[in-house]
Amino acid sequence: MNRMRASKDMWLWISGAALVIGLALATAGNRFAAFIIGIVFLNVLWTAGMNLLYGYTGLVSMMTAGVAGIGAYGTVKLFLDYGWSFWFAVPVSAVGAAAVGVILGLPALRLRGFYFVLSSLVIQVALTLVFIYFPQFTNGDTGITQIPRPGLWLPGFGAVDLTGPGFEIILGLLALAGVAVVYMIIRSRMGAFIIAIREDDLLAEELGIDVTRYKVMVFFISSLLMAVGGAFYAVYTGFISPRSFDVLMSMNIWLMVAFGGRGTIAGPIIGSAILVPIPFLLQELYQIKDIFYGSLIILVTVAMPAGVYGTILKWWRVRRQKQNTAVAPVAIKRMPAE
Amino acid sequence: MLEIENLTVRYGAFLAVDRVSLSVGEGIIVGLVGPNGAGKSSLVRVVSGLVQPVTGTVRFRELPLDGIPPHGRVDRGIAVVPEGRGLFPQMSVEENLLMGRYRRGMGNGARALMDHAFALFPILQERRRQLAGTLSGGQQQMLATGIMSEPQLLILDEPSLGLAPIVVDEIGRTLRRLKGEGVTILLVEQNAKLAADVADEIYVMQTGRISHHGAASDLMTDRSVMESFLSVQ
Repeated sequence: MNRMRASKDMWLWISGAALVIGLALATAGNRFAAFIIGIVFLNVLWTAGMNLLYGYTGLVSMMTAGVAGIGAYGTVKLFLDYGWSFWFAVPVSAVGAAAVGVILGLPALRLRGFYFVLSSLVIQVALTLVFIYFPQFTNGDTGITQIPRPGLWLPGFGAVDLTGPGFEIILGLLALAGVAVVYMIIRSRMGAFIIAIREDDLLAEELGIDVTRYKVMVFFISSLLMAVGGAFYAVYTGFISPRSFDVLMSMNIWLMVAFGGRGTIAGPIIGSAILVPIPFLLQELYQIKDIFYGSLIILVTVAMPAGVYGTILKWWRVRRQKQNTAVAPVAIKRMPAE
Repeated sequence: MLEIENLTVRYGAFLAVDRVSLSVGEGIIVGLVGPNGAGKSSLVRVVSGLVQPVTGTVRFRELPLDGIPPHGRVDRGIAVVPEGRGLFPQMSVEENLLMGRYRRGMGNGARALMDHAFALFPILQERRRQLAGTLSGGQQQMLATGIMSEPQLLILDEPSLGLAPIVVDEIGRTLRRLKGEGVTILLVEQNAKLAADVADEIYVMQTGRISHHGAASDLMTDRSVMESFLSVQ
């Protein structure tokens, strides 16, 4: 059974990688389309982190953009000012950003529900102000421009050109890796415990699950994904400013998870794939762009409260259950009297 | 085994538990009975570590529990089956049982204990892949989850709530059986009949205070106690 699932999973990841590389190569001739694909990949990575936090553990964090920002600024600082290799700067600043995120978020993580949302929102706003008012690290409101793309030397391949589709391929594989991390956590024992925390944190606590410890672990892992995404965003777009990592970004990432289907693996991917391209594709219709975007979101929230994929999944389960009961009706058994 | 001394719990201005002392001896079933709002559940929450008392101490096996988080109390052998909402409805019966096993590791012991729980509640064995929320008799599942951590002290908050009399009897039999296996039980109940049937000792709690205490057989023949109950129930 397990081996069967493992091999099925393996094929799923291989086809995912093939799809990612295919998408990057197919859009290679059209920089505009390629850029949309690249940003979709980054958002898949971000939403994977948010999904772990919000979809599976039930924590709505509004400081995700701030953590991504710390990862981005940290990487750029090490990469440009200190001359580190980009590939070394990313893990160092991602771990740093996640640690800072956990330290800042720790008091908030002890709070429940709405109070956690509010505290994380306050932290996000404070981080944005830090990005603006410490120009020695961030160049303030002006932002950092002309961030070069890093080079990459792979054994066996030699120097790889990352100015073309190479970088989209890397972003895509990164997004896939992020989704895989979340998938593996959910399949593990830890997955069961964090879902228990989402369902009823008081009961989880009474049963002996160390709720705060798991929340901190989840927060750290999701912050890592956020920060890595932020670092790659910086070198991909070549420009970052405090506006790149403001509260709107936090909300958008949360929205994509809710829109696609929280607490499902495919949902946030679908959410990113649908919502990210809309502002790009409707650029000509800038007068009605936001109206369209907003209406779509309202429509989905009202018609599909579990998100696009979540609703499809529910509908499919109900259908399957009906078929099963049609074949073999479940006998209604009395509670045992003895 | 469990000693509660001079315990006071307040929620703002509201005094929920007022200088209560109570002790549970090893290997017996102690019933804590009283009407709705008497402060029974607050007392349970202090023992499980969810609520901090204003004054008073709780000792388990001579050691004070102050400052020990809920999971630490499970480690020491206290399992609490909370009132009403003790299940994850979106998880299967089996997964719910495993949640109760969390602190003790998931090795072969977990399998054996789950079989033990299934032996106590055969219906759970039949329905183990079903979502917990779709089964009636949630209290049985909660009780089964409670014993998965191999507690020395099992605290049950209103296990008879909303159950048919025949199922209440079933719960009573299970409690006696657990006692026979060496588990000490604190049974918190509105249903004085169930408590009288299974408990060795009974405390009566009313508006935050212990009003009576005695052997179950004595207390249930005491007219004043019965009347104070009948008048509030």
